[in-house]
Amino acid sequence: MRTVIRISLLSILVANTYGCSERKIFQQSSSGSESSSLEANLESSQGMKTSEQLLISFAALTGIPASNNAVNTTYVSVKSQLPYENAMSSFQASSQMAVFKLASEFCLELAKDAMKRGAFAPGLNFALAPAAAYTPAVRSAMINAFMSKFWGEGLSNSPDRSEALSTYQDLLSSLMPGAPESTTPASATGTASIFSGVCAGVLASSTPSFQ
Amino acid sequence: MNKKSRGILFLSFLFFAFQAPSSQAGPSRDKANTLFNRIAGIPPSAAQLDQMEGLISEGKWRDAAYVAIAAPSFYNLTLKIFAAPKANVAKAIDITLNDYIALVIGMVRDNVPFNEVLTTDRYYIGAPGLTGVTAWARRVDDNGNSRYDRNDHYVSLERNRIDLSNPANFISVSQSAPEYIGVPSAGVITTRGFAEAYYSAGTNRRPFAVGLMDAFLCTPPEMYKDTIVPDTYVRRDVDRAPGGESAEYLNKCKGCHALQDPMTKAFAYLDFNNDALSFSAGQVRDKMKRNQNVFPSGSEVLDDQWVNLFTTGKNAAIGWRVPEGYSTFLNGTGHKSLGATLAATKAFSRCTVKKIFQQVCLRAPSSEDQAFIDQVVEAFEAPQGSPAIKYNLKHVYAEVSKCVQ
Repeated sequence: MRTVIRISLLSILVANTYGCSERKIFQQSSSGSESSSLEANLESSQGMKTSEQLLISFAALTGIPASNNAVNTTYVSVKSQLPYENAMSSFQASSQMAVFKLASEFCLELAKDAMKRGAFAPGLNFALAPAAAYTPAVRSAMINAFMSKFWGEGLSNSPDRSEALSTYQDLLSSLMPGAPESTTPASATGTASIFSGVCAGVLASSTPSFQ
Repeated sequence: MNKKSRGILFLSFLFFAFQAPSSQAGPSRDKANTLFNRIAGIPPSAAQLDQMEGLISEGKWRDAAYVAIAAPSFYNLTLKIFAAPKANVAKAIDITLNDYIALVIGMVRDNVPFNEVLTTDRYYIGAPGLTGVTAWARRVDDNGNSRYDRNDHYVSLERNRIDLSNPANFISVSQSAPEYIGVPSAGVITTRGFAEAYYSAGTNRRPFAVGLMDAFLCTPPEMYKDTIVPDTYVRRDVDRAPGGESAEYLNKCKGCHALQDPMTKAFAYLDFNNDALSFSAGQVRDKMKRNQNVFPSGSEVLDDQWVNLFTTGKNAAIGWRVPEGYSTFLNGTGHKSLGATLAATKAFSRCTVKKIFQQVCLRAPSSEDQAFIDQVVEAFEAPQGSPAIKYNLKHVYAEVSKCVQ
């Protein structure tokens, strides 16, 4: 696993370096009624959200306030590792770990909030043990809800949904009690734990983090 | 980190690496999504995305931008990021909220022309009674006479994530009132945030060179340096032959000091001590008389009457104009008239537009963008938006966002 993570980190660094050196271009649509010739060649680059933009973005996406004590404690502890400006170059190797920690804290708080978590896990009964709670239909509904709410709907530049659904299904299966290397308890506690784990996996992906 | 967490982290890596952002212009919905993120700093809701997509499809790009500008996070995040680098010497954007940044956010929210940022008497604080927020208060020290107005209030506003876009939460008061800053006000120049960054220690040259010329006119000393200007007003603390070399002074030191020293007289009565901004009417601060024996024949600061020697040579390009309510840009008395004079320059408008362009487009404007920048600058100085006001910062965000298209 450590090797795989290292490989993933390398791929992120390569992607970021590439993004930094190549200007990403958005050509203006010529159909805009407010357009002028001066605006026709305008370009825009790409960037990362800063630490505070990530905090408020995650709060908006999960519904958990940024002022939440647990969230704030984690934010303060990881802030120095999060991007300090929008330039891609401010995204360091440690940044993804920090984004993941922050996303995890939001998701842990979301799992505790009976009112808010319902929107992300339609049909999931948190009082049941994972084996009973995570039926195939509930799994798909939950993962799709996370992707829809965190990545948006109808956007062409977000990850392929069917591929992502399949990957997150595999993740969820590996988290189930009894799966090889799984440490998830077989009680109802494990149901919330799996919920927050999948939530963090989707929230910490790049879509909510790019500016 | 246990095995489960490592697995989830791996997946987040996976989708981070896979999903490099698109480099091509997408359909209206993708554009709307990017536009909202750039202006509001967070992802749009489904309803906001639908609305902006519709407007962009109809070619109403500016209206679409205003949907994002109406979001609370435009004030709480985007304007904070716009103001923060001006409020500290290191130009960091992730500093804690303070009264300087709060003033910029409040002014824009309340549609105050941005050129008043260096002159206004407005001051923004959290409304009384906000849960968990430390009240704005001046504090008396152990001796019972020095007054403190630390940043506690703004720290707690930020910690509690008070929505500054809401007039019920965030109100305007008189900066010069005795219960607040209590000195002759000049916008951010007389905020505690500016004072801590630029008046603390030193010789009061930093507020001019860094706090104003660099931050608001995008003209740092290395740009305005001009050795042709006479050194009539260079202060006594500047060595005319550093290391025994008069050429060093003539070719280097003089270039900046000849210009900035006569301007810094505007801050003759201002200082930052005991954790607060202080003003001593008619009493020149000791810090401006420091090291008088270095060159006793140099200029002595006797009052706060400043002189502008930037109007000739290359610095004429700053675009000096007589500010409203004044009769000249060549000289003045005190920090407020200096603020008004700097805010009336063309460079102030150009700099403001360029910084917002960089913030929204995530790159510095190139020479190819110059004509567009000029067009936005012209619009910035004319009544725009709703309500139509000059120096409408929201309108600049809407205009420059066209780079996202």
